[in-house]
Amino acid sequence: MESLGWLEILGRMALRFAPVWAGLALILGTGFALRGRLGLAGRLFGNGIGLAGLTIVLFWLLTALFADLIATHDPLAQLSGLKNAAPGSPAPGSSYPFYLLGGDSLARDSFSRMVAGARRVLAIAPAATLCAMAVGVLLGLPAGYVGGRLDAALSFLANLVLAFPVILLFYLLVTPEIRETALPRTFAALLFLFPLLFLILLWHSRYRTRARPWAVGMIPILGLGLWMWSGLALDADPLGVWRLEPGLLTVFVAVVFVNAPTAFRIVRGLALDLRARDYVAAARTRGEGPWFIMLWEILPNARGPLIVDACLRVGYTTILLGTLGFFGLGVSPESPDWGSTINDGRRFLAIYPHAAVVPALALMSLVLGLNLLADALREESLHD
Amino acid sequence: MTEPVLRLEGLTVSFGTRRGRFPAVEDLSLAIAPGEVLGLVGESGSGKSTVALAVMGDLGPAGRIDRGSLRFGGRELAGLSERALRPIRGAGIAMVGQEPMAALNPSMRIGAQLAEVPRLHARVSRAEARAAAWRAAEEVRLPDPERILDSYPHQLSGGQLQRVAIAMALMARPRLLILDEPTTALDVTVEAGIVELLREIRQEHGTSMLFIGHNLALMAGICDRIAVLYSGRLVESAPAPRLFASPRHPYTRALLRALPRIEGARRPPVPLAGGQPLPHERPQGCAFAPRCGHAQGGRCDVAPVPLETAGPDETVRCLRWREIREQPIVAEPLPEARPGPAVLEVEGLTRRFRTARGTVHAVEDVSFSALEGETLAIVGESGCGKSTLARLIMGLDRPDAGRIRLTGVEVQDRPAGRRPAALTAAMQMVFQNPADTLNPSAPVGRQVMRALELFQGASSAASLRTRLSELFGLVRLPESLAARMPRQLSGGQRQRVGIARALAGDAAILVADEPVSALDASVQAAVIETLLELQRIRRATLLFISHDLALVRQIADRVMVMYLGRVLEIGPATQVFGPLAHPYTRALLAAAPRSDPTAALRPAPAGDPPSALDPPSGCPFHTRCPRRAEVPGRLCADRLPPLAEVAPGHAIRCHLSPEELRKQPPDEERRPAAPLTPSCRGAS
Repeated sequence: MESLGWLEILGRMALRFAPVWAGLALILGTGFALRGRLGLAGRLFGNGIGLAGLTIVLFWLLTALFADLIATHDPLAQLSGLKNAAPGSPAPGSSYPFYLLGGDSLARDSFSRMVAGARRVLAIAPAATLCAMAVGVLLGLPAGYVGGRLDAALSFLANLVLAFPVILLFYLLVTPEIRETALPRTFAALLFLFPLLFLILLWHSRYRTRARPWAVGMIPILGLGLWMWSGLALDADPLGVWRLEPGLLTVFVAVVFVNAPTAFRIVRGLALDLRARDYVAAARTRGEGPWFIMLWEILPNARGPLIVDACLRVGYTTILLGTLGFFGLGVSPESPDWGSTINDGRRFLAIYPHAAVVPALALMSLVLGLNLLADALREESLHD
Repeated sequence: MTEPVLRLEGLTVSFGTRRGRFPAVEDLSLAIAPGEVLGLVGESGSGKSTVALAVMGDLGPAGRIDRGSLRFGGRELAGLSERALRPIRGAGIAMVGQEPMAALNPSMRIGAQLAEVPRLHARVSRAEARAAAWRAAEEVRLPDPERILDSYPHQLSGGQLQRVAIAMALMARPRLLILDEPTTALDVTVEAGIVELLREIRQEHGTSMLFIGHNLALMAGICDRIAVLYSGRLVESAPAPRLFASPRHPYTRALLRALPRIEGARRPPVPLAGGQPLPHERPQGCAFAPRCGHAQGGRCDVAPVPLETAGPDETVRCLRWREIREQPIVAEPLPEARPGPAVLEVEGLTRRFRTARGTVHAVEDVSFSALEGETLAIVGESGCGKSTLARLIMGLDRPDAGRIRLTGVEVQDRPAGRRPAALTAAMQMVFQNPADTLNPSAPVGRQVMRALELFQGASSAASLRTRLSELFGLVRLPESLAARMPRQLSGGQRQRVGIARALAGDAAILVADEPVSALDASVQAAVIETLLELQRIRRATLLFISHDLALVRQIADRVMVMYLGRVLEIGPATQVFGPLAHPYTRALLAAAPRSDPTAALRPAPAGDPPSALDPPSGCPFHTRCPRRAEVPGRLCADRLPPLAEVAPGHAIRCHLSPEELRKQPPDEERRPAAPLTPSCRGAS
């Protein structure tokens, strides 16, 4: 069988991405039709940069979602004779007749590994970002709103973490000696508690005066939350649905730990500014508790900068995961995540560039998309 | 006839928005003669600032002059390039804006900024420029020019900064000075000083001025001619005395009725229903017709109304101006309050803020009580402690000393949130800034509902909803607004929602901190009407904090005058505004603009209030008091006079005896205030 030309490779790739195109068309079409009613998100459709960012991010999200349909091969399967094969090489006797983007140094399909890597990256980065934001919000709001000694203490803690070199911190967290102690588990238990705590406080402060809606929201929050928390953080889920492999858990904890102080500082600064508003004073004079004021009066009005920051932070976390993978930290050596793949490919970069270039381009385009999206959101949230 | 300095003919300016292009100013023709001061009046959104920007050639990327000409001294400005406009700006036309702090570079000394003007326009040497800056500072009556020129903007007070901005605008000797709401951000006393200065400048240099503003009373004191703008169109223009004596257009009449008047004791301003149409919602015919009591269907709402000449130098845009004969509507005087027992008692309340540079005496030993069903006004210049007092009463801040009794219960040690629910519901606050009083990210109905849930939590959801619609009805808002976000409401509507929210717990006491100072006059009158009506119906106590003496005189039962944290006078409004009053109260009254261009000039107290960081010893007002000389020796500077009762319920803090206070110096009406000790504000 002949090797494929570049045009043919692109054509076949486009065909493999068919579910993604369908999904994109559906989401963007619906969004465009409803753009007048979608508020800030709807205004992205009138903004070229925003639309580009949204499309790229959605592309990767859908790729992660449909990874099993798109991938041509098992990302871990090796085919003899295809070690470092050029893009478009024929792969007879396998699930798909070609290695579309070539093979890596262990004769695995680069295209499938990239697609499978997207799932990996997009499962961790947004979740870690949300977790870090929850920590930042829950500590930053009181620091900014209450101020005084609480603020001094929390800010000092945040500065302490920020002052420590990130890479060194990672090395420490993922060294086997530390991983064997209870430290990562304890950390995880603590950090995963924040999103749950956030939801509980949010609901309680709003509905504390009305028993029925209070119970209606609190039961699922507590039930689901504690279930997920016990599974993810303590690995003690009785049903075994929620589970995080120890290596990934460490990476997750490390990423959240590094991101939380910067999120804290942003939230604290916003709260410091917003606490002097009249509507906050109005809430105080009608006897609202501090958590209602922080979560329902201050936080919604800080959402613009926080959404933008979250977008940028997902991009940053993606790169961080890549960096970690590149150093071989945290994830299993087989893992198809983009960072590890780039690291594997770099040894033969001069001779067989495709193995490293493919995941590198994927990483770059995702971060670019997130940055464009953040830019557009920032710009659109300014006019109003 | 001499060539006018500025002549606008058929000027139409439009702005591009998301929804398309809309004209902000339509077919505007105006002329300003040499040495003339033209007032351009309109409510926010009427396009008055757009005119200023068009003349300065600074419409921004979205704005565009569609039609018409803009001739400055015979030269066409419309379509001139940025390069050709530069020599005209500054030397030909100069502009002074609303926010002096924004006009000056915060990181440059005042002297250096002033010296830039002659360096740029006259290309003089550094030393000459410095000398020119000195002369300019003296010209605008800045005390101690040496110190001021060496200061940074943040070290000066608002009034001083505005004088610096005026000095800067005048340095290149422009033929036309555009003043866009130059005193809106300032206190009455400071405002009076600036207006006085502008009058002097005009006399000395013959500078023409375009004075843009929304306060007709203020413009009465300075403008020769006034043009009224409504929804982008000129509706009436006439010489100022004529306009005030016999306004022709129904809108002008309504504006004048809505104006707080210092001479209208206990007659609240008359509101004007509705709001100005947005540019894309302008009606077919007369833009004012939907709000006009004289509009006739089939006539006023058919075609655009042409501008007619009504007399020499007088124009009016109304089809029916000849037919309308209306008696000037004067509001019914307020009924005498029948105050009940004291519901709020404050005793010896003191609050000091310790800062790096010393202690700020924000509130010092303030005692008063508010009675059921009365309106107690608290007046004073900014920095007098009136807002801090409100925050202390509401429990937003803790006093250092003193007692607050709310319906007999002591609450000074219980901050907001720790007070019993019944007491919290009993006293609620209405805030100053309509842009800030509501949470921008929640529908307004939900915000009022939240207050209802807190105060009447036991009630069922259905009864709460009924209560919500009652509250909306009470403050005269259509219920359909409940689903809107605050940004979709006008300033007046937002203030009404704020009032509804405060009433959710059936408040017996409403503390209103400058509730209308950020609103246009017509809207202001409507919100005041709502507040007063609620008070009448529910016999609530209204603590009305304001710097607008005219408004206070119209609505207050009792008045408390504060200065640098201390009460200088408290008593029934009729007496406080009567012949027996504290010299400071008199000075404030004199400074309030009166809507009568023929009124005699009244002296305003010189300078700004001293800083509360380092209050003067003795009587706090002695540094600015015009009657200090009548007190023997250094008594004023050494000892704080007691707040002595001069009549039942009327107390004054002054060393002069009631007889002496009652006796006015015969020439007070015309004598300009001698500049007293130059005020210094300790960089706060």
